[in-house]
Amino acid sequence: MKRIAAIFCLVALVLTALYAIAFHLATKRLEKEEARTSANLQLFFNEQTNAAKLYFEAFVLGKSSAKSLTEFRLIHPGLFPTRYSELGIARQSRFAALPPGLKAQNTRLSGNGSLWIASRWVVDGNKLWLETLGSKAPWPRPVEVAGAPIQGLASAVPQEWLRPNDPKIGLALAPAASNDLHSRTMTLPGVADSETSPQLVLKYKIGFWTHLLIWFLALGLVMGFLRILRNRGPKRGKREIQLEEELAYLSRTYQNLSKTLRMERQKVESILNSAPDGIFTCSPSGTITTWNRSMEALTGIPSETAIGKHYRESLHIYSSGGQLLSDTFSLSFVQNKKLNLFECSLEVLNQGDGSASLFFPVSLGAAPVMLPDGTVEEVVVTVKDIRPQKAAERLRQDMQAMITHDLRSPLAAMLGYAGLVANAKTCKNEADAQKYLESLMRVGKEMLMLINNLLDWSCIEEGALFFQKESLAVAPILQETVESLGVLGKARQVSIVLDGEANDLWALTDGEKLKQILNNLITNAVKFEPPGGVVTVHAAEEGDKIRISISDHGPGIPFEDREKLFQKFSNLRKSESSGTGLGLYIVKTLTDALDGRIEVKSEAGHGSTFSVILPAMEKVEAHTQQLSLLSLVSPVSNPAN
Amino acid sequence: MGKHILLVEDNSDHHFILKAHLEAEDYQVFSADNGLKALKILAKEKIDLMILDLWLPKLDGFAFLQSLRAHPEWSAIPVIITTGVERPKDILDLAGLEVGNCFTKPYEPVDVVAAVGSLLLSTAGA
Repeated sequence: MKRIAAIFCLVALVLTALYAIAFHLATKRLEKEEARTSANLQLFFNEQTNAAKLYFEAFVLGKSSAKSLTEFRLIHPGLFPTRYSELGIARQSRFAALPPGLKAQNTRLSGNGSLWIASRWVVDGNKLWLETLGSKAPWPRPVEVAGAPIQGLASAVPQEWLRPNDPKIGLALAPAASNDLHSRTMTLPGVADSETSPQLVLKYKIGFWTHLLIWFLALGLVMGFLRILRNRGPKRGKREIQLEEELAYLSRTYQNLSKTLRMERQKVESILNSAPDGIFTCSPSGTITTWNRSMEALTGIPSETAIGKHYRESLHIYSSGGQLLSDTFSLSFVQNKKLNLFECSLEVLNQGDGSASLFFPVSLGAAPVMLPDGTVEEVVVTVKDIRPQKAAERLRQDMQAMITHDLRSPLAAMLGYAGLVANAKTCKNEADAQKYLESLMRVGKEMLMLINNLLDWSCIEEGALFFQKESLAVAPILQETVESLGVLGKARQVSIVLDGEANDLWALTDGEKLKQILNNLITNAVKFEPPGGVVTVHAAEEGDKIRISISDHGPGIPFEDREKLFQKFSNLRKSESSGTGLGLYIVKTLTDALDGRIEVKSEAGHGSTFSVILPAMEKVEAHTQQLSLLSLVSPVSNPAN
Repeated sequence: MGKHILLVEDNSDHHFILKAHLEAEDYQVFSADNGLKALKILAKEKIDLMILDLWLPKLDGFAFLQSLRAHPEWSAIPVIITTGVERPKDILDLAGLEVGNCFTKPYEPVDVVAAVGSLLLSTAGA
């Protein structure tokens, strides 16, 4: 705003100055022409009518002066304050006679040369004004009246009009006539001494073309000035402007690029740091440039320590054959340009902080970051920790061996017993055969349980274990299980005793699964019970639960082994008993699935008690009724029998 | 009663079956289900031959065999190995332990009995 105002003021100033200059020039030219302008005044007085007539004769020389003359005044100080008296004005040719009956006419001055002007006179104050009619903008400008009286004028004046004596102005010579306009005029005191000459006033207007010229000049100057204002500062060429634009474009592009680059960098960092495998990059010479979080976790070396050093200071890579690869690794990589995943061992060297160096199997891969000309700029190395994979593999192998062994062993025993029966030397009588066949059955049952456990285990692993829960009386299940394991007890000289108030107990459970749980637990108890001992199976109600406890008098389970007890493949006493180590794992899984839980009480050297706690049910009447109905119809099928 | 045979086997079924076969051939069988028991029997009885499982509780077969071979009196007792370990002979050779025969489970009990017979014969002949 301030700037606009300043510019406006400046423009106004310049315009004014220009106008003044232009006007000055115009005035100078007029003055030059005025210098040649002359006028003559003659006052005539009619004594009969007491009227006065003024004849004025002026020569305005120069074309432009005549054209632009708008006012013409005669000033004579000391005249009577009569308002005015009309005088005739006529356009006349040069030195033409004054026409009769002078009247005010058109006062516009035109033509080249001298004019014979009659005007009106105005008495204002003590000044006599002679003015042209139709003047627009009075601008008094005294002009000295000089020169000789106009020749031939007197002849044109009517005879009755007297000519004043003074040839200079004539007015002063006229006799005073009181109360009369003219006479008063003539009796002016100032006139008599004629100290002051009457003045001729000429007024000019500035012509159209002059105005146009002035405005044109002013406009040109203003525009020039504005241009100077606009182009202030160092002068710039077209090429420079073009360069400047290019530079701005480049700067914008650069900003966008650097923003994109920052985003990309963040993205890459996020990807690197969220990768589960260790990733590091190094120069072809082996200096580490990136070290991601998984690498930190894997090696325990923070990225600040690793970056900038040669990777050999942190890692040694060995082939699966135990050969140190570190020295040739990067070289061979750069030559081959590609390195597929391969298994090797990684030694993480301690970083001088006293920690032990690590050594573990990894799967290693590398990819080059190549420049367009094919030279390797950086090497991206991925390091996958394959310890869990190796452990799983080992576990699988162990398990396979164990399963093979544990299935083969009872099968061999079964064949062995069958062989004893078949051999006449070993089977001398029926009692022998009975003995061998009982053992065969026992081993067969053990094997069946083993296979059931294996099947269940694979079902559990695959999540395909199905349950059919219903209200069941606990007693028959217990009885059946204990009876079926009688052979096992007999062979080991262990009796299995069922006690407690099992008869009225009902549970919401899956009968087959419960049998399997009990089978496993009782078999275990029998295995660990010393010969001649008793394994007790006890069932009792406990609030809204049923507790089934199996107790033995075996070696017991050390406290520190309790946690491992229910893990799969955790045969705690592997050397003393056969088994896959799946039994208790399956017991635990099945019990959990049946909304129950399992408890272990054990003391080393004083036996163990495993308790299964299951949700109890109210005795289901309908079911009982059905049972009694059945027993009425067919007394043989009564389970009590 | 025939020769004294010490049967060291922890699996009761296998133990029972082999014992039945040996007794049918009139051998007197002494039973042990671990190395320590076997050493006790060795101290009490004169043993002509030993059938030894390599995988034993308390004192395993290898350790047992090593102490046996180091013993002045028992070092000459012929030993038949029964084991679940694959290629037990290699392992034993590696350990510098000499044995009569090796049987990998599952074996035919009759074959073991036959090996016992021939081994006893060859020792008697020697």
